[in-house]
Amino acid sequence: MTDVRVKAIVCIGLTLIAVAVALTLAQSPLMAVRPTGSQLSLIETVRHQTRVCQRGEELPSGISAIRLRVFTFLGPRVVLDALADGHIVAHGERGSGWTGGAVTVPVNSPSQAASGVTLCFTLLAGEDEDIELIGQPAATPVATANGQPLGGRVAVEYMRPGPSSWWSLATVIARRIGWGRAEGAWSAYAAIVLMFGVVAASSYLTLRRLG
Amino acid sequence: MRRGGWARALASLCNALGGVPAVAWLCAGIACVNAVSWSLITPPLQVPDEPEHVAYVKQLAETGSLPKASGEFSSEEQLALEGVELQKVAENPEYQAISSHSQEERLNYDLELGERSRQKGSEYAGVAASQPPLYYALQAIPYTVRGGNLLDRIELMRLLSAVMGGLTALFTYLFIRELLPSAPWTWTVGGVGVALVPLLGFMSGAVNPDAMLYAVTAAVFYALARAFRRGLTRAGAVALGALTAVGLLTKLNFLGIAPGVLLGLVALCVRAARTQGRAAYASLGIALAMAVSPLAIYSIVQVASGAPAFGIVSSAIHETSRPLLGEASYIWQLFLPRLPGMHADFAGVLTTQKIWLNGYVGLYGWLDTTFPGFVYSLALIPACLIAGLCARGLAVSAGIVKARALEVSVYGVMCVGLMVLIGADSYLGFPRVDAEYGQARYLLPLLPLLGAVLALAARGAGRRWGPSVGAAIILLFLAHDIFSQLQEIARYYG
Repeated sequence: MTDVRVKAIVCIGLTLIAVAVALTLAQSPLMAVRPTGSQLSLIETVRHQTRVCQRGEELPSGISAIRLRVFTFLGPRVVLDALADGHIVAHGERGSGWTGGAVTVPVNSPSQAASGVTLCFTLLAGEDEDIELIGQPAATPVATANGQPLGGRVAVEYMRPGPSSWWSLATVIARRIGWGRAEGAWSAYAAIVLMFGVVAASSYLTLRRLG
Repeated sequence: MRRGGWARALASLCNALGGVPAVAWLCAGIACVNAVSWSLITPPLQVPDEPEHVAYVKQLAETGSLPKASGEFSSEEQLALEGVELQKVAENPEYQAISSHSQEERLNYDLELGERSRQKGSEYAGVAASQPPLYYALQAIPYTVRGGNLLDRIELMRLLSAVMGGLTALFTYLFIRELLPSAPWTWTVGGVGVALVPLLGFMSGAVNPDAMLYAVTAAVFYALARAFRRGLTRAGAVALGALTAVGLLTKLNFLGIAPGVLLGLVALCVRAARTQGRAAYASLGIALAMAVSPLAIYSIVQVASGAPAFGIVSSAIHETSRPLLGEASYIWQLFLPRLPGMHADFAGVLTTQKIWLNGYVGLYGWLDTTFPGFVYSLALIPACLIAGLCARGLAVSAGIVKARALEVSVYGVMCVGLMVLIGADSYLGFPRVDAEYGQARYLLPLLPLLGAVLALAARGAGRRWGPSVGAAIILLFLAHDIFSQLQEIARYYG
């Protein structure tokens, strides 16, 4: 006979997973308010602790994160402040350990949009690893790194939830998954069926062998 | 071998396969199906170094020769890379995979152009060129069998990798069965847990020799555990020698594992010699000869062609001219917290958590697909609970662990060997790049040990609560896998 506790854990666990998936899909994907152009290049390579400040930013309302185009293998802790008229209007932090060409820093949502904002972020790097600041070259300096002018503007994207939930995007996403594949959108549906198989087999084994 | 010999070998293989419990096959099925699912949701060529590995297969399948590290991709692959906009999408999370009809039409046009290309092979395979050819030779079968464009062939090649993912779970289950024979219910926890590891699914759902490396290493762990428990037989020694040879022919990273396997062989042989006498040493000789033969042949070919005896490995050793103590300190800190007196190579970064745990929890695509930051902090809770329960499981079985200290030491040497290899390679790029090979996927050859940790954690909860904890662990891994796949979908198609 199946152990009642194991049975209960499997039932509760599967229910929790289903609820968590449903709630996650009810949310909207984060989207860049104004996506950066594709013509990005290396602005500067920095090392050690660096504070970058950039003038003339437009801070939209309702944002929940700010994505900075910074490339490194082992990203340091990032502390970010958006300042308008000397006051902090948005603040966020991201711990060390991120990697790749961009770091998304969650921020407290500013109550209203602001222009002429100075965005400052500190890369709390301790060692000699190269950290590349990526963006668009500018003729007149608009950004500084530790007080020294940079040759361009670091690409910054302000992220806020899009208008549609993941649920409502499901068929569009299924179609996209199929693009470039012989099976088309069926690839997505096949993945769903396979994952149901994985859930069923795992649950069966758990109940059968641990119960 | 005479016909009768082949028949006997086949019969013993069938017997061995027949002796594999159904649960182990189910674990393999779960891992394989999971990897197929990953292969369907991961856009083609959006896995670390997949373009290079595909190029290697193309070169081997179409020309029968090995590729080089310099040059350029074949025009067919170049067109496919342009079609999927790899340069734009990889490492740039603001760009998604093909997201419009016009892009799809362009991709189809590019693929069609590529299909018509008469160019054979791809002389360039970049970072993959330094790898041994076994995995690529196997992948040449699906590559050749399936017609169509390059992306169609990649889909089939990914399926072969998925089968290897299944084998990893199968051997992990069998390994745990040998390791903890008195607690059969824990085998399922370790086997299913490993089958559901998202990073295993991600890597086994791609064209990458890591998939085969995981399977071969899992088989090595199983063969060692079996030999330590039941004694080293001639067949066991041959299996270990053959597996070591296969490992060395699969990926260079196996060089980190090999010293531990050889140590295990020697230890097993010394133990077996007490009962078998000289026959044990003959078994060892056969196993060692089989194990090192690929290396010997490779170095003879290299030396004959005027290249360094061990190829890229020789070059790497030659490049390391910095103080050994500094390198040892770096390797230590790459995995573990800094000790007093060590120079801080990763100031302010707890590498155990930030590189390895976070990398395991979620870092997919071209290392550009991550969970929100809070997920990594949250992951510390189950990680610490599992570690604590495992420690309790070990404490409860202290007598058994002590009795099997030699076996445990062999697994330890295999771990340390792999870590030293990863650390030494990363040190070559340090300090310009802090941890170039600091990617959790490089530690996945140790997945059988993760399976053992999960099994021990369930056991550590005691017979009364153990099965419940085991069930909770399996569900945790299932949830992790599902959300990892959703994150991958969100990154590329959201």
